[in-house]
Amino acid sequence: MIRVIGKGRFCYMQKSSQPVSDNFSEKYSLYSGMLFRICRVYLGNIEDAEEALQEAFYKLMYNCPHFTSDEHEKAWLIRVTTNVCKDMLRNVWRKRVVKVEEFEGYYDSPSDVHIMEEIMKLPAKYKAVIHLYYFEDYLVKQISETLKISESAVKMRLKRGRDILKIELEGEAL
Amino acid sequence: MNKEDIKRVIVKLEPDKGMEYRIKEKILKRRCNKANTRPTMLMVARIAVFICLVFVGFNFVVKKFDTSSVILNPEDGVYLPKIELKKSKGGQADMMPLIVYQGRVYLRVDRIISSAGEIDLQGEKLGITNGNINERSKRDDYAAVEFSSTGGEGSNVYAVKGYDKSFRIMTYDTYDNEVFIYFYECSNGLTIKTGANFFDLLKMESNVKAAKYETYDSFYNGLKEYQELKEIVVLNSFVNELKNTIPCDYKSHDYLRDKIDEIKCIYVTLNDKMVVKLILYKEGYIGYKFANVFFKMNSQAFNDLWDQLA
Repeated sequence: MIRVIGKGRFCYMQKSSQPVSDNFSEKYSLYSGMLFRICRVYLGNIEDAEEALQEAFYKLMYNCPHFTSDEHEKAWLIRVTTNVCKDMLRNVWRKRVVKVEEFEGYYDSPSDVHIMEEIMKLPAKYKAVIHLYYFEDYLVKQISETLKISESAVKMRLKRGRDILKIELEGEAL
Repeated sequence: MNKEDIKRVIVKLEPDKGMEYRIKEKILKRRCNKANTRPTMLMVARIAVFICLVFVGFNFVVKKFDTSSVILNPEDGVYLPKIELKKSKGGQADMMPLIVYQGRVYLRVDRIISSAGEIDLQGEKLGITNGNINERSKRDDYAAVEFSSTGGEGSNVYAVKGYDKSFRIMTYDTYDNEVFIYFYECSNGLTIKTGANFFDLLKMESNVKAAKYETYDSFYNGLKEYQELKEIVVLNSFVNELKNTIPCDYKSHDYLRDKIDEIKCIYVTLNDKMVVKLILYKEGYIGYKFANVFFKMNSQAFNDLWDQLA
């Protein structure tokens, strides 16, 4: 027997009547920068980041749930993207690989390259919280809701990530 | 390092200008493939009900599975337990890109991206991937059952020319004159008494074209500091001895992975352009991707090759 995995209840197709390509451009301009950065930090090289980004947008265009707000959509996308990245990292062959290639071209200063390399070396599970907290300025509660992990888990990962990166505390109340 | 440092470096990571176009094209192509293949899949599905052929699309949800090897009696070798797909009832699922074909679970192990026409590995067509989310998953669980579907649905699945399809299959897609081949392998369910039971599947003997290697530090950090292996004769002796290696269970040898100065990674390119990636451990052990088993080579051929990888 062929077991066909149907779309079933996950058939939350585009509700908009806009052509996919138009809708895609709108969503791409809104989210691509943020999601690409998450992918690069998680995966390292551009090729893998682009692949993950493609997957995230594919899900947004064809497999997304009904969003109740823009914040809901954004949080969903972040979660999808981090999960896509984590799944790519699960590949046994590459799961221990942290690629630092191609970063030199982005930065003029060797110290910035070094900072990026240090971020890249973070264990994957700390990257998302560090990224959301320090780059996207999310609060612990928001990170908890976005990644669907407890606030104490967020705090723990922040602490450990911060310890590894030796991030200086600047009046942060954690 | 402070918050401003982090902001300053991360903000510079911008997608290039062509990425939007590339991603849009690939998404539309993928969607188009799916639309074109859906009627075929329905027809195939109906027929297949009668012929009892099992084919499941990849990116199915896999609950955590035991990938450890089981040591049997010394004369019986090592058994790699079968991966079983289980119903999702919420919670974190352990999801990996995979294909289920004729009841066997194939995990994605590698990919090749090349220009069209450069690779000739396409064997008989086996089917088309279909669907990527477990239909039994609840909508509320959607966040928990996301997976990567870096290949997506609607991909054609083929046997790999020259290889046993019960071990290795592939998907083959083209975008903009580029060929994307993803390889999937099924070593779970194997009982390995000698290296021959496993390495014969890889078709390495008398088939080596070239090889390169890197240190574990390079591998670990993604530095890609490859060095060409010049002594192919030494490598061929090593390859010839693979069939005589002794399988060892994974868990009790996991300590090998901690001796990072005693690990080398070798990439052996075969005449058909397949690349076999092996991890060598100084004590004489050999590892291979998802096959959670180590192979012990008690032969000078190992030491000779190891010395070449300095």
